[in-house]
Amino acid sequence: MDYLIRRVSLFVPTMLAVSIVVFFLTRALPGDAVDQMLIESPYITEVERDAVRKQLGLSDPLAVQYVKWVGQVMQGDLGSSLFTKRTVREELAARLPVTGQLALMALALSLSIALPLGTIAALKRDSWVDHVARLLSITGVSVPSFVMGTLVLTYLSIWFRWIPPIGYTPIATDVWRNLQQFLLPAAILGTELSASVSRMTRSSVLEVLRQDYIRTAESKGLSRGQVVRRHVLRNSLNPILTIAGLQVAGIMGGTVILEVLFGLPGIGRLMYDGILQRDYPLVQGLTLLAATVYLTVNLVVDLAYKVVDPRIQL
Amino acid sequence: MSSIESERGSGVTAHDTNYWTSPRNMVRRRTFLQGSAIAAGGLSLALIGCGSKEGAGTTSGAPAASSASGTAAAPAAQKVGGELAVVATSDPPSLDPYLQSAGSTYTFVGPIYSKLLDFAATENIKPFENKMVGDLAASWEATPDGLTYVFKLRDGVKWQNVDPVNGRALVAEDVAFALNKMRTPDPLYTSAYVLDPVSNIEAVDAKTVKFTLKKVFAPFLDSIGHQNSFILPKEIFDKYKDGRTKAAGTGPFILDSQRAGSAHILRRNPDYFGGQVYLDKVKYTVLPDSASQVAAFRANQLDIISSNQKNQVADILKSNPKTQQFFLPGASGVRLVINNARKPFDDVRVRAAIDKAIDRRAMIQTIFDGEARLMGILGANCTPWDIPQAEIEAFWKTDPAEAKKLLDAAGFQNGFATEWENSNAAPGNIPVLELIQAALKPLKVDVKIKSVEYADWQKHANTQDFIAFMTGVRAATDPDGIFFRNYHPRSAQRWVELKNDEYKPLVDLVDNQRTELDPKKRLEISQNLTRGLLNSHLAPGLYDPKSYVLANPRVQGYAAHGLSNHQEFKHTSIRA
Repeated sequence: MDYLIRRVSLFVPTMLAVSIVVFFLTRALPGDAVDQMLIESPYITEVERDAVRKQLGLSDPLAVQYVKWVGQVMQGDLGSSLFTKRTVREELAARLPVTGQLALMALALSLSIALPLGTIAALKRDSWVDHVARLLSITGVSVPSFVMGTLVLTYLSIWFRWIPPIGYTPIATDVWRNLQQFLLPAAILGTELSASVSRMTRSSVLEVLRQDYIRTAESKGLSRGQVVRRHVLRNSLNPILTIAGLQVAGIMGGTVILEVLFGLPGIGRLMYDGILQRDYPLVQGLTLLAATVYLTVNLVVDLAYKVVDPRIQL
Repeated sequence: MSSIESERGSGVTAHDTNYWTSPRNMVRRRTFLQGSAIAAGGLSLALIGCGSKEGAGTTSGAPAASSASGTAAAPAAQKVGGELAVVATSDPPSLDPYLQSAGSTYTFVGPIYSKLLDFAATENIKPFENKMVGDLAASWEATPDGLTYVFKLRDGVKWQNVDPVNGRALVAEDVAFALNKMRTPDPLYTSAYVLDPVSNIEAVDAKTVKFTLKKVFAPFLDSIGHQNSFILPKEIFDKYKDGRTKAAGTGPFILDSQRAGSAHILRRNPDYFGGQVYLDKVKYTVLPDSASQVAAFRANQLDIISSNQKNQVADILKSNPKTQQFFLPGASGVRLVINNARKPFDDVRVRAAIDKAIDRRAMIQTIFDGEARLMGILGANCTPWDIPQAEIEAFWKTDPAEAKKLLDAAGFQNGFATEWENSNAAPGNIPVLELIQAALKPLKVDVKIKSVEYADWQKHANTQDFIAFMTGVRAATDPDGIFFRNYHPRSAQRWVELKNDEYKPLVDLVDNQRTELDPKKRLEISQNLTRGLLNSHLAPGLYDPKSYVLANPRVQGYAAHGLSNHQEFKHTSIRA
């Protein structure tokens, strides 16, 4: 419990650091939201631009703007989009389920492919199974999801005149249509992610297979299956958990491209549009959310170490 | 009062040598549009549907244009019902066209709102015809001094039967309120400049609106039909403060539902004053990636897409041979802007040398497989106001020897080094800039190309903190949209400087074309101004590639003008 309190209390300075970096980095980008808004106004003067900046609260010194924003955030108010005027919270509520579903499905697919594949590859080391598994892993690592996504969409449309229904239907509205929309992007992202997990699983299982306690288990008469299930897999899990945890960041990045390709209205697309428009409150809010998710997942992974291996002292 | 002709531009006709309508230049089924990555970012929905249809598929029974006194006839061949699926590259950031300059806003709210006048958007409209017709206006007149315009509204126009207008009748006061709102003197009202020449808008009676101008403004009717000049109801401002999140107009379609990032849907307005609307729904699917758009089109999830990449169109026609092609008349012309306030380009001989060294024809052949026209100053949409195409072609003679002589005379026998910018949002410009680089190398002009972030590029352009860059030509239907905006010292987006005395005659011509009401005389001014700008080598055009819209065979009655904000959907139907 002490560990948990210590880790959670570390969230505060970490988030503060993230907020400083994201706030000042977004303001350091060339051009600003006002330039984007007034792009089509031929008579606009610099005085009028400044007036708009003032209206939007962008004319205060940066430090003042930062303190105001952090004050708002601490009260649970992430602000409103400069363009749509919708609150960042509303935008998140609309988009989070999409990215969340895509990420979870991709992670589930990734693990369900990678764990058996990596384990089998290690158990059948240097056999054709191992070679195929390694080839798939290398392919998965080498082919980025935007290439795979584009190829899949293009060839499906040419060969079958079919692609998954573009857009988003909530799962509560139509389960089948929702699954049609998510399965392919989740499979592409999952396959890409499974490559590194599969490689790590193979290495980790091979490492464990060399341990004395595995020989002991085999010599006391346990079957191969029992050895793998009871001793090999459990002892191989910690490095795999680390990689899977780190992949959360990869998933959040990977969803941006796949959301664009498959027309899914998720967080990634929102972030992309926000950056292009210099919609500061939106970008800042989304980055804080990403940082929170990342920190939380890492905390969960660290806690999971203890569950998987009780010998570990947190 | 003298009656204003109902067809804007009458007396000014496209030249006989019109490149686009010349049969030899009309695209054959098997010769596709030239691949152009220049229009990077793709053609927005604003372009979809401009121009004429050709190639496979016929769309019989085209409806007649909405005339000032009548409504579109419903041909028997077109059926009521169905959903048209079109693509949007981004969400409309706002539904208020007065506050938002994004094309995605205008194209989405276009079918919801009406204007006093609009450009005809029927199949029988030729490219560049720019035929203006009454939308809410039944007729309109101007005083001989051109300072007062009076519009009579149609009878029986009702607001859509939705909150907050609930089907009440449209009155002149609505029009006066809306256009006065549009010209609110607040920088956030980014469309206010369109009505800058207006001093007063008032409702004379329930059916009559009067505009009083500060001074004569020849393109006034173009401003009234401008993509910004929609009529929004007072109730929206009373109830919602502005029109960002709510839209209710008098147009052929009603806002049905919106899911940001996914789809925005319009449904038929059963009470539309302009006659039968065929489509039950129009669905805008947000899909920014062009490869995904093509895949969705092939899979019949999108009915209409645009493309200007030759190979892409060829591939689509191979897999979907019954696809209908619509010809987009330009609107993606490109020009080279050289900052004449910066040395050594303040010397017209240096600018002329650059122009004479560039081989525009080779550029078109190499990059567009010949499928583009040479461009002067005006974009294709302004063809009726342009100098003849033959004159443009004669002007652009590549002559490296003459270029060398000009540079020598300017004192640059040993050439010079210069750094030009390119926006990272337009990577397709790079091959063109490399051709220019190669053409200038023999003159010892060493051009370095610097890629800059889009917002940075925009800022440099507006503050004239650049040496040169390539950019698109505005899709204006009136030449003032280019002459004033790109060249007049009062415009914040002029990019070239005409402040010096040597350019005063050109500035005078820009001013004169704004106040000349006689179309023939205005054409003469426009042409003289074009020649003057060409001879001054100030931001001249490079080329104007062909572009196309592709439609599924089931789409019927679809054709439009480029700036009509999807008013063409009211004539579109889905085949049985």
